[in-house]
Amino acid sequence: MKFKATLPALLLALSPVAILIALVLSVIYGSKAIPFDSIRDALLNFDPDNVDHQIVRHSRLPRAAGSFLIGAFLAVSGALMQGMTRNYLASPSILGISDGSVFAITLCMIIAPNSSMLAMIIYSLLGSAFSVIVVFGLAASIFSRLSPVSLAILGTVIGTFLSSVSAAMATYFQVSQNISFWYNARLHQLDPDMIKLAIPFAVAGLLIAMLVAKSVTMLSLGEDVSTGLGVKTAAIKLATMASVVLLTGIAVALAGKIGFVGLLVPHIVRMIARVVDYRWIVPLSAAFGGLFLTLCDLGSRFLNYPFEMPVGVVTAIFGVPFFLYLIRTKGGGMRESKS
Amino acid sequence: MFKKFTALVLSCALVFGLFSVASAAPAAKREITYKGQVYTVPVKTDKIVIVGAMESMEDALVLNFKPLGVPSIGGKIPPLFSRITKGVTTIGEKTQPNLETILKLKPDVILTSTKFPAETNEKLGKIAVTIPVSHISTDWVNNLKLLGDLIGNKNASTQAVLQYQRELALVKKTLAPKLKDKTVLAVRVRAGNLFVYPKDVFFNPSLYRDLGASVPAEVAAAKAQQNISLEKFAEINPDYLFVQFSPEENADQPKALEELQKNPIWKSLKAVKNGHVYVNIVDPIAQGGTAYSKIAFLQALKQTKLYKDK
Amino acid sequence: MKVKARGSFAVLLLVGLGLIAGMIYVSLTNGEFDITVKDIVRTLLRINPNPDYDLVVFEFRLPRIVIAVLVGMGLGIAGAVIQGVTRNGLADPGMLGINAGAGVAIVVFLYFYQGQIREITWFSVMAMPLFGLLGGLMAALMIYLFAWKNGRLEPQRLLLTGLAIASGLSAISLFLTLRMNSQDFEMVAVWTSGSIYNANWKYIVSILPWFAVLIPIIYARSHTLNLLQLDDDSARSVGVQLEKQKGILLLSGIGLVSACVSVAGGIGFIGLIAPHIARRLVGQAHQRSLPICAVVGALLVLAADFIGKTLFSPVELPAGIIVAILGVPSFVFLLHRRKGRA
Repeated sequence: MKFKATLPALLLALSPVAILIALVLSVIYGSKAIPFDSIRDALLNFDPDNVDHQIVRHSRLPRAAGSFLIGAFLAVSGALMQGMTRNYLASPSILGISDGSVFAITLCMIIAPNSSMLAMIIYSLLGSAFSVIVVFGLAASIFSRLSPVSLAILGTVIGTFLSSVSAAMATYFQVSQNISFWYNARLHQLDPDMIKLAIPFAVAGLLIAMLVAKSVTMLSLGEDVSTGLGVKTAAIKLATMASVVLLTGIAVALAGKIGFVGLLVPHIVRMIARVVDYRWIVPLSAAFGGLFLTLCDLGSRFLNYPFEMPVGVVTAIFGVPFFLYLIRTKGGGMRESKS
Repeated sequence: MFKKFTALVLSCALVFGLFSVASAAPAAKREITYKGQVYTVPVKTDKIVIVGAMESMEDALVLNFKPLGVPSIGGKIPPLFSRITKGVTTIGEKTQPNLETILKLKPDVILTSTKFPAETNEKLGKIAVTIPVSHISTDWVNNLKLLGDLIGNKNASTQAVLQYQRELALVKKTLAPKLKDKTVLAVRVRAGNLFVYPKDVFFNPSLYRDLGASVPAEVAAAKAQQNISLEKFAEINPDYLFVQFSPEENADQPKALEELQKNPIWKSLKAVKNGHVYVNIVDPIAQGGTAYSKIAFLQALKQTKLYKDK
Repeated sequence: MKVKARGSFAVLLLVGLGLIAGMIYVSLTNGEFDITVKDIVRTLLRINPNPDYDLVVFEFRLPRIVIAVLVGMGLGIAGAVIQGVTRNGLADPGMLGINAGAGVAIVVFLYFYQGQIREITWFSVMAMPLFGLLGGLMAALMIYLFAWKNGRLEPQRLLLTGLAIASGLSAISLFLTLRMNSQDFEMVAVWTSGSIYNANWKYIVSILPWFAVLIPIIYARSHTLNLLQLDDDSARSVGVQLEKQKGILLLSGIGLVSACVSVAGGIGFIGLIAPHIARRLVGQAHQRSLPICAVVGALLVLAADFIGKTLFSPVELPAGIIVAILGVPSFVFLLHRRKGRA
């Protein structure tokens, strides 16, 4: 009894330590060998003319911090989506967020190929928001109640539509490979300014997530149960969506499509900490997600030395076997929702 | 006397007869060999459709040859080729040529790329003699000679090659000592990422094989297009850098380069500090390994600070 | 009201076939190359054959039309089977990882072998689809093996495993494509969206056996498919040898999809939408919905291919993209109508 409550608490308490270690490793090890003293100096006695110092400040630190934050965002979004839809197939992409972003960026690459990174990030966010609005709008006009499964169907459908239109345009204008690079190979280009930009969105998203966590727990038990317990389901769903859009939208905008984090980490959390209460799952997902992605990012620097490997491939390398293992052991465990 | 006269008349008649037979016969064909395969082509033709082989497009540019049909990119013909494509029909996108359009043009020869699926090349072969042009950069001389041969202007292609060699010798004399013991790199920038290429691809053959610069370890390690982080790039710290932007980005306004230039890591590079970063000195759509690319690269090199500085 | 919604099966089937015939006519008679209807008829009947006309009709247009019809039928039927077996209206044959498997095989092929094939022989033409076929089948096998546990094949596990394997394979494919030069990448992009650009009689001959064998197998089990819509226990109690039938149906579906994907690339969406449309038109009974699925699928692909070919001629847009662009609004429209009726 006591044990159950203490395990997640223990994990949460330990996580900052693990995270710190991961971050430190991420700063120390990179494709260029930089001695430890230089790193210390870069932080304490910064010398703008020293290349190594610049690398630590402009490349390693943002990369470490960025991967941690983005990992956390994606994991929390995934946890929320899974709780809300009661389906462990759920991940942020079913709402069509990344497809909307792809659509906007494709348009951008064709019409305004000279946009700065900042402009493209904003377009990406707008695109995500656009697709979510379309999905919601259609769902509201078609379905009498916002059932999670119907949302998922519509989300997938609209997502496919947008990504097909984008693919058509990309093929015609021959920008396909550029788009692929934008989405798949950018974690190492995080700019400290961009990270600063992300913070307000992230804070908002995480706050909302924590606020709805309790209600999401009840939602995950079933529609009737939660209504019976007095949960204002529509409002909660809306708030959850908002949080997911904010967190995932920013993650996609900053670093492109990184798969598996949103899908897997909540499961890992549930398996290791053995909790079903989202008030634990959310923060633990944030911690684990950040940790996972930071480690994957570290891997992406060395698996294809001296070149970079897209982090999405690294997450898949770890993610797929683990996912398969999960399916075989837990298989069919989670409640299946029928429309 | 009479015998001589008869012989004369008969021989005239014979020659006459031969001539008439020759002119009545369909356009004379001959056989040419390209990369070990034999093709039957007309003695000389300008009814050539180029399909997907941008290498041949560049060769046509060098030989000042106007093809019968050309591929489009994004529905348009790249401005680099405007000199030879005024009024020329487009036959579809680079990757999916429209077979019916090509048939309508009734070409004698179709130049396709070895990168196309065999199925497509087979269909093209049913329309006209189809020659798959090699996309490997070491074949640049063969490719140029092929086109020259087909259009009946072998001379022009030989001249172009000789001229390149002469220019190369000149440029090499000035540059080789400057390049000795220095790191030279040619990269492409796409979506903010830096890409390096294997030593036989892109402009690398010109830099390393022709001009004699030493091959950096990273280029030697690259078996294909590889993404390299800015950090690693800083470690390589090239002395001389050639940057090409992919064609989709406006060659006149390299905004993506501006972003890079704001990055302090970039600013710390030797090449940047010494003003030896050369952006798009050749049209970014140029493949790099073809005759045109190489010639243009040499010409552009002669204008650079690297060349002109004592 | 209900009777009207179901519609007379025979009428619908005839209308469908008529539409297909119409679409075939349009595709056959329109194109870049100017050829009159009379000439086409003459070419088909071999009166005064003209080598150019023969090329256009028999090598360019007809194979494309035939493959479009076959692929549309195959994907439509496979979609119905998968949705039936997994009891999930969201299931699309692509989710079984076949597309991803075929995709990886094709990427590997393009990356390593492209540009090295000098001669155009039977093998070199068939190499790419063969790779695709093998890749698709291997992926399907992997998924099947993983999802099979304790002698049972649970739909949820199947879908999830499919998802996992598909993502894994996509990652490999991604890794290779980012290293390709952009022309090869464009080719991969076209293949992934699904295109009937490469159509010839050899391909048709290679996939016909699959169709001839698998479609009857599936149709014969329409009754089983109907029963599978009940949950497992009810179905078993009615005497269905559940696992064996599920296995046969799935394998047949997988075979069909692999054949289609090997020649036409990853045309998604048909397997998703056609069954829904068919169900709306004639109801749940698979004896009726399967043929309509085939007809709807064929129509969609034919129309999409024609539009893709003609819209920006001579530039061609891959059929898969057009399908999605057309398919989604139709799907949404259908959902709307259901609301009114619900």
